[in-house]
Amino acid sequence: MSAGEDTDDAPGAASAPGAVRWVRAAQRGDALAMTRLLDELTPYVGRLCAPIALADGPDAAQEALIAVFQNLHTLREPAALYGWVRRIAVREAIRVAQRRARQQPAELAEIPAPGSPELAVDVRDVLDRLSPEHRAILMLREVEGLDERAAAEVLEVSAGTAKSRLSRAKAAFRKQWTS
Amino acid sequence: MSADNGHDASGPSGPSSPSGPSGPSSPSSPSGAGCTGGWPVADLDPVRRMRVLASGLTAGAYGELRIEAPFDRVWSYLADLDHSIPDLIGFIRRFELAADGTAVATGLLGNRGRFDVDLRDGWCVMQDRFVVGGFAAVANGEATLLAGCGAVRTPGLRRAVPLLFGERAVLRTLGKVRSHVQGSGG
Repeated sequence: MSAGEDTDDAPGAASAPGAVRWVRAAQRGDALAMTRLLDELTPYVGRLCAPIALADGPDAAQEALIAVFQNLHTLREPAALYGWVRRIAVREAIRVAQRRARQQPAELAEIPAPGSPELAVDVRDVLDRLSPEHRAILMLREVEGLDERAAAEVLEVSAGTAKSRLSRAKAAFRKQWTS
Repeated sequence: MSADNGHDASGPSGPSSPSGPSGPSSPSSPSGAGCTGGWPVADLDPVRRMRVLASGLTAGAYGELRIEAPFDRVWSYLADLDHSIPDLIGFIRRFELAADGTAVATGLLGNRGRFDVDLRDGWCVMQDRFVVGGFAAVANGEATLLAGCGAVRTPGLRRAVPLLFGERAVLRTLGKVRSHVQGSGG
């Protein structure tokens, strides 16, 4: 089953990772290439949005993907797709979480080290008590594996702000975890 | 919103990265939050995905309709494209889907067009050089939420959009599905 007649126009497109190879055709309005792009991006966006928007994760993922598809024509370099999508998804997830005003920011102390097994258990209950901004920095660090500088770029805050936010988020996480 | 062409040319990475592409989540169990490695994950059901796809189509239209019939009955009718498409699209007299995912549509005047078709459970997108059409469905209790979209790919045809693929036309088509499915009993 093909995804349209014009999907392989870039050298090496067939070997490009994941969704990148469908970008050019999707930008030209090839709906089947857009479908493939959606198949590839949905799990990624769902993984980014759910830890931030929690129960509103599907709404946040839907709104993030709508923003991605409505603005896909502005993406000049397909290789930058995932970084671009990540920024949109995190921003939309924070916006949805704030809009719903589901959570109150928590007091903040310390958290398990990245990759610690205890972090993977019942994370959701603890996330539930953090603010969307704290959930976002934790997700970028723990799920995406970004360093503080890269996380700061995604969140469009200074490195210092990201560092202090992460520190407070970890502290809050630890406090919630041990309470 | 401007595109970012900066760092990070890699695909998603991290401890919870999924592997490989995936289709829409099960249409008989609407999307929601799941859990991977302790971290919550969200998935989109076929109707949510159709909202996304429609948002990205130029000169497109989109509509949704709740049908008081179970998903299986709705989708078994729609997925039989050779019969449902001529039923639903007035200017298509015959639609023949081949095993390779292509289809030949024959119009009322005998004109023919070759379509590429992506047909899965709860999801169908069809396009030829000129037009795009799609359906998605998900169970909604004992009923079914059905979505439809249509778009024109060729700028010269876009004046025909309100007639062929406007929101009213999409809703009219979804209404035909409802009439057929509810009329067929069960």
